[in-house]
Amino acid sequence: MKKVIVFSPNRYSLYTTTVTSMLIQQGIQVSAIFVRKLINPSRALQEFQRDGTRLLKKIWKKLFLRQAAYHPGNFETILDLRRNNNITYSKVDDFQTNHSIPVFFCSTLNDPVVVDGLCQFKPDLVMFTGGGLIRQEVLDNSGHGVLNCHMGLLPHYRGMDVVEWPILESNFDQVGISVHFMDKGVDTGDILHIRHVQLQSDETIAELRIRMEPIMCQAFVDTCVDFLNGKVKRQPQSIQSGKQYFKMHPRLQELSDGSLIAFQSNVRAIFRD
Amino acid sequence: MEVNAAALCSLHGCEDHFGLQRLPELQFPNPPLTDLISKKPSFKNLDHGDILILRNWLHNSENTQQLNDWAEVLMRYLEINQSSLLKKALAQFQSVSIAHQSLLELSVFLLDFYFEGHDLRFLNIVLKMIDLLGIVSLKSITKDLREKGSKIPIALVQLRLLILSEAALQQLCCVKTS
Repeated sequence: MKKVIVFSPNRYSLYTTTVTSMLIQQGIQVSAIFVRKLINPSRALQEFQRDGTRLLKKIWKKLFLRQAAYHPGNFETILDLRRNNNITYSKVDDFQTNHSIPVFFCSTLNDPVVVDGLCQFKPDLVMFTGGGLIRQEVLDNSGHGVLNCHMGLLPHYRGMDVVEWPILESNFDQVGISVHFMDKGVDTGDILHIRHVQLQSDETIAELRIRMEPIMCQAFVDTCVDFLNGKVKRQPQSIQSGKQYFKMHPRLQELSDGSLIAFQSNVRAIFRD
Repeated sequence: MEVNAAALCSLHGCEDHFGLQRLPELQFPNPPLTDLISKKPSFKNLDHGDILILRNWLHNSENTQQLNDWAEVLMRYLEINQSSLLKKALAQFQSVSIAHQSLLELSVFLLDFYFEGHDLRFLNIVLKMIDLLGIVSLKSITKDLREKGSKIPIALVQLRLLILSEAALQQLCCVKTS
């Protein structure tokens, strides 16, 4: 039986609990889960300097509201995916209680405890569901490697806010997700799977992001299973084919929202005519 | 005189926004590219004088691949080190005023680079640089321009940054909503 280890950004991650549950349902053995501790002042400061008030919103949504942050809409959210797959676990500890999967808490995913754990469990693959940059030593001890699902189409859109950037650049057909191996670069590792996501009428970028979450979970798990069964091959990326994007300035974010609205009204006009 | 001319040059392209007639073309001593070409693109390898060379280089459109490499490396450095940029610039340029001026001129270069290639990542970093505490301040621009002292060139550079970044956003807004 193939073994994987899961990396988690925090114990309450909906993404982690969903992906891990789906892996178990697919017959994959999850050997251990490594979770970043919630309280880490230096990380909090670093992230606040990078994200500013957006970090507070993220914390509020992901750690306090959690499932309550989602409202019923006319598209499938990660909660619908969980309901359809009978996923009830809301924190990673539940896997220890119900499946005897060891859960390790660490300050960062580069701690010696993580490297020791990888050497001990010898996973075929590590599934990264968030938790910061990963050092080479961790990558080197992760079997085939560390797999990540990126909310952008690789190799063109690397880095951050890659749902917003293609829309701002009027590349409306370049929205999607990519499952790829992590390496020392930013989203430059071998690609296993890419999936385009079509824009829908009347949705905002925030709604689009929510709609992409279940697509990411499903694609991430399916690709993991396919890779472990030898059904998908690694496709190396050409570094020159893409750009690295950074957090988008709020003024450009406003324009990105406007760009999406203009695109949707143009599409409506074409269909009306 | 050269510094003032450089600052005046910074206003090129802004005349329409002031409702002014076009400024006459200014002639600059063209600094040799050789020094910069021989350097590996990196913020740490950048002297204050290199920024003017980069700007001239951009307008001369020679060795564009190397210029692109410089712009990309500098943009990434500014993005990644935003939170400690003032401290890092001070360590690099040794004086507060030169560090401040260098960051401003670097922002002008990146804004010009955006206008050349329309790569929005460069407008993105310029907007962040403008937000960065102490880089551009409306209060200090007004004060420096009123006092008519030695800080006029810096005030003009700041003014250019503000006006042209707004112009870039307005242009984008027209394109996106049309």
